[in-house]
This record gives sequence, C-alpha cells and structure tokens, in this order.
Amino acid sequence: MKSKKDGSIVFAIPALIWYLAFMFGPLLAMFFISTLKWTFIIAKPEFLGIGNYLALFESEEFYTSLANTLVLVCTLVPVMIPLSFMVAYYLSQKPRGHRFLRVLMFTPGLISLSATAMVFFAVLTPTGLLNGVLQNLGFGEQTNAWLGSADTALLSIWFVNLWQGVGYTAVLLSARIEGVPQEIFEAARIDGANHRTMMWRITWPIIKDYLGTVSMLQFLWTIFGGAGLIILLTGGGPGFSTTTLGVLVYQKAFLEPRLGYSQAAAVVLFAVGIIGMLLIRRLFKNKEN
Amino acid sequence: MRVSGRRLIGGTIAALTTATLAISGIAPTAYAETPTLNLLSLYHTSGNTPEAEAMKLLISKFEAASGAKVNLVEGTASNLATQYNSDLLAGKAADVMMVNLFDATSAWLDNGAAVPVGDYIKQWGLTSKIQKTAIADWTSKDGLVQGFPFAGFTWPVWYNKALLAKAGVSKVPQTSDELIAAAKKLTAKGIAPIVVGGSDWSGNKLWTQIVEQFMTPTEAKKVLSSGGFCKSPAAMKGINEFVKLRDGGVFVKGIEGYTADQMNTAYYTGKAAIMPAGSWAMPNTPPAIAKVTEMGGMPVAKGAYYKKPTAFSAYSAVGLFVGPAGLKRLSLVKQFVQTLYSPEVVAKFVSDVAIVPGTNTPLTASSLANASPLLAQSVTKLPSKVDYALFPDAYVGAHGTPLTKASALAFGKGVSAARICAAADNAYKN
Repeated sequence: MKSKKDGSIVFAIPALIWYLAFMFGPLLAMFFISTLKWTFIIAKPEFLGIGNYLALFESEEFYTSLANTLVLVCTLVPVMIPLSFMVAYYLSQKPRGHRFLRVLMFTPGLISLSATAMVFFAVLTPTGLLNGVLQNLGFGEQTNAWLGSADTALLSIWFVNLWQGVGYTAVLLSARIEGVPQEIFEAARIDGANHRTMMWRITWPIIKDYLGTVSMLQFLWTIFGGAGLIILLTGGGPGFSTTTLGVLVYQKAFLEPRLGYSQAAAVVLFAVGIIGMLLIRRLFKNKEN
Repeated sequence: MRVSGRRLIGGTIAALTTATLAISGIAPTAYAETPTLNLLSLYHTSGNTPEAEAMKLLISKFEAASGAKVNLVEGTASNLATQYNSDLLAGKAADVMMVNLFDATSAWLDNGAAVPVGDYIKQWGLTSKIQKTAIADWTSKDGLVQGFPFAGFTWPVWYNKALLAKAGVSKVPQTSDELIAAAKKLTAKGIAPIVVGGSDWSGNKLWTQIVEQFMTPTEAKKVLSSGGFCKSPAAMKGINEFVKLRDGGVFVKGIEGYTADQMNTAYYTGKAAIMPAGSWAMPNTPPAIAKVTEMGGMPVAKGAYYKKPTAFSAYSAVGLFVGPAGLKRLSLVKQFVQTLYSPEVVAKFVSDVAIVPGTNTPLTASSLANASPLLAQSVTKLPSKVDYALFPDAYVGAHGTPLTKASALAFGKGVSAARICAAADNAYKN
C-alpha cells in the first residue's frame, strides 16, 4: 500500500536542494577550512590537521572569548525571557493604549544594527548623553567611558542587547498568550487567582513550549548575531573585554587574517550553539511530552 | 502608465538584488577591455572628497597623453583590499591599484597579487624622481619594491598655544615632566589636555610612540614585528612611562572611550589643547584653530633614546601597486605612473589633499601654505623640533588589530604596566 507520506518529499525537494547547497555546504567548508593554514584568501592554503585547534586551545583570547560568550548568554537570556514574559502578560491584558505600546515595544526590532549602534554610541561615549545627564544631576564623578573601560564595556553591551530584545520578544510572547483559550483565565479568576498566580502558575506553563522556542531564538541571536553589535560598538575591546567567540571568528577571518584559525573558532562556536540549544530544549520540555 | 503588481514586485526584487550584490561586493567588478587602464583607487573623483579635482586632473592628463581610457573603480580603506582579492580570484582584477600600504596590501606581493616594481623604477628613469626614504618605506622584508610610492604624511602633535597660554603654560612641553605639569594647569582651568582616540588606531599610534621612546630603531623593529614587550627592558621602560603619563593626568577624562573623530572634534572646537594627528587632518582645521596651533612632538622622558619630542613621518599613505593584469598593459601603466609623478599632478594633490609627496618635486612655501598653513609648518619647521620615531605599521603587520585592542586597554584607568605588556604580547601569539 502506498504511504500518505510518499508524495510529500517532492514538495520538499526545492527546500532540500537549497538547504544542501547553502547550509550544509558552508558547514562542511567550515570544518574543512579549520584544518588549513590559510592567511589571506588569495594565499595558497596548506593542510594543518588539528593545528588550528591546538593553537586555539592554547590561546588566552579563546578562553576570554568563550567566557564572555557564556557570561552574555547565561545572564542575558535568563533575564530577558522572564522580563519579556511579564511585559507580554501585561500587553495581553489589553490595557489602554496597548496598540501603541506594542508598536513601541516592537520598534527596537525594526531598527537596523548600525542605527542601534549609532544611537548607543552617542549615549555611552565619554561626551555622550548618559555622562551629560550624570553631570547635570551632580554625579560628575560617576561619569565613565562606558564602552571604553574594561570594567563596564561588557555590561554596556549586555544592556544594549537587553533593550534590543525585550520589547520584540514581549510582542511575540503576547501574541502567543492571546492564543490561550480565555476560558482558562476566566475559570482561574472565578477561583480567585490573582495576576501573579495567573502569570506564573497558569500562563507560564501553558506557553512553556513557545517560551523554549523564543529562548532558543534569543540564545542563537546572542551568540551569533550579537557579534555585529559588539564589532560596531567596541570592536571586541578594550583588550579582549568584549570579545566573544563570534567576534573572534570575524576578527581572525577579516582583520588579522587567519582563515583556518577563524574557522576553528567557528567550529567551537557551532558546538556551543548546539549544546546550548539542547540544554534550552531540555529545560523547556513539557513533562507530558 | 499602469504598472502591474507582479511587474512592480519583480522590478523591486531585481533592483534590491542588484543593490545587495553591489553593496556586499559579491558582484565581480566589471572592467572593460583594452585600451583601457583599469584602476582601483582609494582616491575618488566622485562626491565631495578633497582629492576629487586632483584625481580628475590625473585621469584627464593621462587620457590626453595616452589616448587610452581609465576605468576607475573607487574603494574605501576598509574594503579595497578585499574587493581586489575577490576580483583577482574571479579573474576580473584591476591593472593598477592606488591604495595605502598596510598588512592586507603588503601581502599582495608575496601572493602574486602584485608585481615588484623596483626594475620599472630604474628602467623608466624614475629613480631620481622618487625620494629614497619613500622607496625604503615601500620595500618589503625581501628587498622588493612593492609599488610606486606617491603620498606620505607627517604625524606631529598639535598644540593649541592660545589654550596653553590661558592655562599659564608659556611654551610647548618638551619633556614628560613638563607635559604632566602643563596638563595639571590645563585641567585646573577646565581645559582637556591631550585628546586622542584611546579606543582606536589613533590611540594605538600614540601608545606605540610613547613605548618606542627608550628603544633603538633596531629593537623597536624587532619588538613591533614579533612581540616580546614584557621581556624588553626598553619597551617596559616605555610602557611604564605611558602609565606615568596616563596616571599623571595628561589625557582627557574618559580617554579610553574616545575615537579619532571625537579627537578631531574636541581639538577643532577648542575643547582640548593637544592632539596627535596626521597631515590629512590639516585641511579641515578651522582657520581660527589653525592660527593658534603649533606643531611639535610627543615629549620624551629623561634617558630616552630620542633626545627631542617624537613625531611620525612615512610615505605609506598612498602608492600605486601593479597587478598581474597590469603587466599586459605595461606601456599604459608606465604612462600613468609618469603622469602621476608629473609636477602639476603632484602639486595639485599637495594643494588639495595636503599630501607629503614621495617624489622629489620641489614644493614652494606658497603651494604648501595653499594646502594648509599647518602642512607648511609641519614640512618646514617641524623637522628641526622633533626626532622621527619608527613608524610601526610596516613591522606590526597583521598584529595591528589585536595590538590596538591592547593599547585601548592601556588607556584604561588603573591598568598596570605588567597587564599592558602581557596584552601587547598576546597580540603576537598564534
């Protein structure tokens, strides 16, 4: 008997071809290039085996970059998701002006990376808005080179990422919350549940799967896409204080340049991404599943 | 005329795709066939650039003399080398490239992306026209001349004499101690002392300049080429001197977060009294600030290798590389180089772009002053006031980016000399 699934592969072929050519191919190339000693793209590469990996694991910059990546991801995502969830719950209550609020919340997601970087550069630079405000409020001693100081640069990047992600994620989550049957909330209200209970003990478990998906997206954005913001704001400096693995991959590929070494770092970044995704999946897995 | 929705969408997608490819540099640059000289250039003829008229003059003179056309493709400092490398791999590379000499372009010769031009300099009778120091700056470690040197620069330290006087500083500081004393007086009057882009290349150059002061040029070449700051007593003396200056308050508050653009703004608007900047910044200086600016060097400590304050000077700003494709049109390349070195073209670049030419073209005081009174000052008066420290770019090479991150760290509050030297050495690992 012919299975119902037999014909479905035909419709997936274009997507599979696309995936193999543009996803799987570059992925294989990344692994292959990581085994080469290859400086400039016009230079002749030489096979190096695991040499790039050995060099990577011996270098201080790698461990600093790995630590910065983990610090960013492990502190940003756990703060951003509950915060976004709280905002999303509020939005889902459809308060007065909620449509305007939604647009406002979504705005950071509509601003290009370079525009975001420009705005925050203007805010955080020594002659910028933040120091100006501090100066005018009589806190002149607290002014700082927020992006230039090794003590505050990573924290500044953290806040910019949070600003960029909270509203966007909240709008996504609120759409999901609105999809929850209202009868559940009405029943909870009749049973005397307050907002705190409805938020954390009813809504959170119901949309847990979706929270997992959003966390995963945010995690992936932070470790991969987040490098762009760092490159624009601090270039990974001062020293290696804001260099993440994503920034290291860029710098070794385009600025120094050591393509093989860069791709060895990219392989490690890929592994971090896979491990992180598995952990998030496990964390948000519903017990019933 | 009515445009159907489908056509509109199709047209939009096509336009967006073309624009995206063009922006990303994916589309190979199209060069026409001979008798055209394909030129990839950092200098532009379009837009409101200071070099536009000089480039137009160069191209029109060449076209009139040769009967050939120039197919000019304009690039920027950040993408020109990548663009050329991509074009080369696609078999569509330019014949000649007018670009600065830095790590990405200095790799061209080793990888067959450019040809050595030392023999052409001799054969085309250009030896006497080009300054020996300019040729030395363009000579690789293997003794090959990488391109035809054209534009150089001076990189002095600028002092706003009016602001110094306002703070009670009667003369430009010559030693580190005098600089620290002057900085205290300036700060007391609410004037920022030295401003520099602590987070970028401009800060890196000043940091290197200070660190170099106890090193002989030979030792500086060695350390800047392969690291070893912590192990070099002379380099450590320089790093300690940097820490002394930083902790002595010679830099503007928040220096570690400044960029080169912010440095220029702070100096041009009279908010800072001192900045280290190259001759390219001179034409844009407001006349009121230029009038009170004295060019000098970075003060040195007692016992330093250099006895006078130091400045930089080099001829690596722009030169002409010849690619393998250029060998097929060598007669055109020869004519282009000869036009480039003609007194009229050189003078135009001096007056419009404030270059310090790598040629032996005699420059009158008025032509320099036309370019900028500051350029005139830094070409005529500066050499007697300063010692020229070793310009690091040719030696630092591909370590430039991590070394800039290390120097950015050095500008931070409380960062010790040991941490700075370790960060600098780390830039050379792997």
